[in-house]
Amino acid sequence: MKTLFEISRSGLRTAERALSVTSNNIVNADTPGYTRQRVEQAPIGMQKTHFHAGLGVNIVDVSRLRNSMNDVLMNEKRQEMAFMQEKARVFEQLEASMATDTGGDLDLRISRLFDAFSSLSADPQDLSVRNNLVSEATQLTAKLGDLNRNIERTSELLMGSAIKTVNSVNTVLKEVENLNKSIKLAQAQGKEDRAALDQRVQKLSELSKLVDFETNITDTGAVEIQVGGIKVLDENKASVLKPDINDVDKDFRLRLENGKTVNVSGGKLGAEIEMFEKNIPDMKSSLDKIAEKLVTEFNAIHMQGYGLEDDTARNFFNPDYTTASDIRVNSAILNNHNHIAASAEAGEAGNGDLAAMLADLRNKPVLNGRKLVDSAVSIISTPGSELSNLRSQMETREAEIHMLNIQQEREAGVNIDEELSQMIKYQNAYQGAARVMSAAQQMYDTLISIVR
Amino acid sequence: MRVTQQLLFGNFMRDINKNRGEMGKIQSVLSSGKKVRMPSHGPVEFQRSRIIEENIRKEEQFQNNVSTGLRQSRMAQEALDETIDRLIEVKGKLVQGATGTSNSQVRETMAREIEGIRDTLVSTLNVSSGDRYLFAGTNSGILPFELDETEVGGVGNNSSNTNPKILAGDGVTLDISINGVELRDTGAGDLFGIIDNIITALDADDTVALNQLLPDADRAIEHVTNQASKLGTNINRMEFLFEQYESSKIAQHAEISNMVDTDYAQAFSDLQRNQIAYESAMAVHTTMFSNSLLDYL
Repeated sequence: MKTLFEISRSGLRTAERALSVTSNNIVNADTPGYTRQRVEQAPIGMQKTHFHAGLGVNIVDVSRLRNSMNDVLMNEKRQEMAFMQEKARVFEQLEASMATDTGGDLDLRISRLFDAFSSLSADPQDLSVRNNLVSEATQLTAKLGDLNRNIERTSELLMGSAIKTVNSVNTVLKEVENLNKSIKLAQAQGKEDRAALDQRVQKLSELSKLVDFETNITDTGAVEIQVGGIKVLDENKASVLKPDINDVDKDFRLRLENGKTVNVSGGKLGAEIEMFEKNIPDMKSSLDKIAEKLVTEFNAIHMQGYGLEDDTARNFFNPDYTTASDIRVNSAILNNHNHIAASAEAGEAGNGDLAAMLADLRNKPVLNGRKLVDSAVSIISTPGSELSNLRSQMETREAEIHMLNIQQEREAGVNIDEELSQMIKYQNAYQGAARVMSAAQQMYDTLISIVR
Repeated sequence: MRVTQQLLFGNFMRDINKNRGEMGKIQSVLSSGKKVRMPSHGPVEFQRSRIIEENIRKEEQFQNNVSTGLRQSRMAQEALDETIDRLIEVKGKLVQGATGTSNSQVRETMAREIEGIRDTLVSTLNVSSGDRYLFAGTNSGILPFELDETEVGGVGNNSSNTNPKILAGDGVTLDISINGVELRDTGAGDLFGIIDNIITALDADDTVALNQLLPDADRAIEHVTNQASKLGTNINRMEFLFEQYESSKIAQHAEISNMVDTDYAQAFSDLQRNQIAYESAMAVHTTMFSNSLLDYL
């Protein structure tokens, strides 16, 4: 008879614990990284002579329903996504500073200078044509300077942002180190620290947005993290990554305390480093190439011609400055517009042959087999083309992440309706067990009243 | 298959965001009238349209050059027409003086009159457009013809032997005037030399010489007429080029428009489709999320 109390007690206890697991599921339904838990019950019984006696119910396990393969895949995709997102963000900024939808871009400025020379060839003596030419030339040099400054500014901001990202990586590594500790401790006691496990899943997904890495779970339950083949977190301790930057050579390295270099090629940080080391310097150098070509090509022709006042051969652009940052019109020409050479013959004011040659330069493929204006168009469109490429890639990647997310959510996500029905189930179980107990109580009362 | 609330909500948010993104795109396409404004909207279209724009600018500049040239050529042509009229006047006087009926006094008056015509001719041919003397060739900064007793025909020449040109197209240059050297070289001697010979013969009362000068005068008129018609050909050519650039501009603008401008019919039908999807998503969302077991507990 006493077993009745034991059985109902085990029922009450089991229902109560199951209810607490269910309610924990419900309140964590929206917690990122949370994994749905299930109560695994098993009957308790005892083999007696000739029969088997049921002695109640017991909870053998609370299982954590998560597909860890899916997590690894998902982190890889997240890392690629974050890489592209960051690149897209920077290219977006660059696009806005290189090209506008109102015109007035580099291609227009170069083209206007050619127009001015074409105009000069038709009217070589007209001072207003000459004034206009000088103003177009200075606008062109100013535009090149502007573009160059914008690119440099982006590079600076990017460097700052990369340093911040390194700090975030270090913070996450430190947090994972702490989670590792509690997971290891629990495992040593034969238990499972589910909260820490869920948090670690979440932290790893955060880390995957910052940097590319590989994980390895050790026998003690701790996770080890490698970045670019170098271990940055072992079972016991996280290393601290230190940025080592050379702004002149555009070199961005990450070092551990022991001096080892860590190569990052993915995630937000990977994108920032790639943009800083490669894409931005590339853009700057193509801008410099245009500036250099402008200076050399214009000067080569201009030196052969004659201005209105004397027979001195002059450069059109100052030959000492050949980069986009410092290109400038020859000061002799800025001070006296009559020194612009339009004539191919000395002393002929009405000769516009040289101006015509300069105007014809716009048709010459002088820069890598392309015309100057075409090259300018391609430079200002570079960030936009990259951006449009990235956007279409991101769309595919996003769909993949979404798919994986659905898969994981199916396994690990909390369905509130399901949990509510479980709640009703366990409530009923509790009521049932309680009824058994009160029945047993009544039976005892009956017995005792007989004795009395 | 288990479908969780978070999954439903995630799907909903994703669809809504996609929808809104597309709506934003359609809105900007409609309100700006352009489907390609930045390189990222269509890198190929953007670059091609910019390169065509460069070509349009180049041709517009050629058009400007041609109008400058036309203005100056027309002025030069007027001056040449005037010159022909004056030369015909000179020839009239010459014919009159060459006949035996005129006496020496009449001839002397004629000589003075022709001198006057010569002076007028000099100032006619010194015509300028802005700072540019039209008959000075490429020496257009200097007055081309000056009265000077010591020079041939009593008129000094500062003109160069090259014609002023304009750039009217890639590799196409057109002469916009006749230079002074070419103009004076009639094939029967210097233009002002012939006039001077006539004046001298009239002063000398030499009817034989005057009769001999008649073919020279004809040659002079013919020469200037030839020059004027040569210039006329160039004017026609410039007018033709101007029109050609105008029509090519229209064609190129149309090409750009095809690449970068909004297709309104398309945009509006996209907008409608999008709106329906958006509204349905909203409606479905509200009904879906009010369905919960919670309501029945």
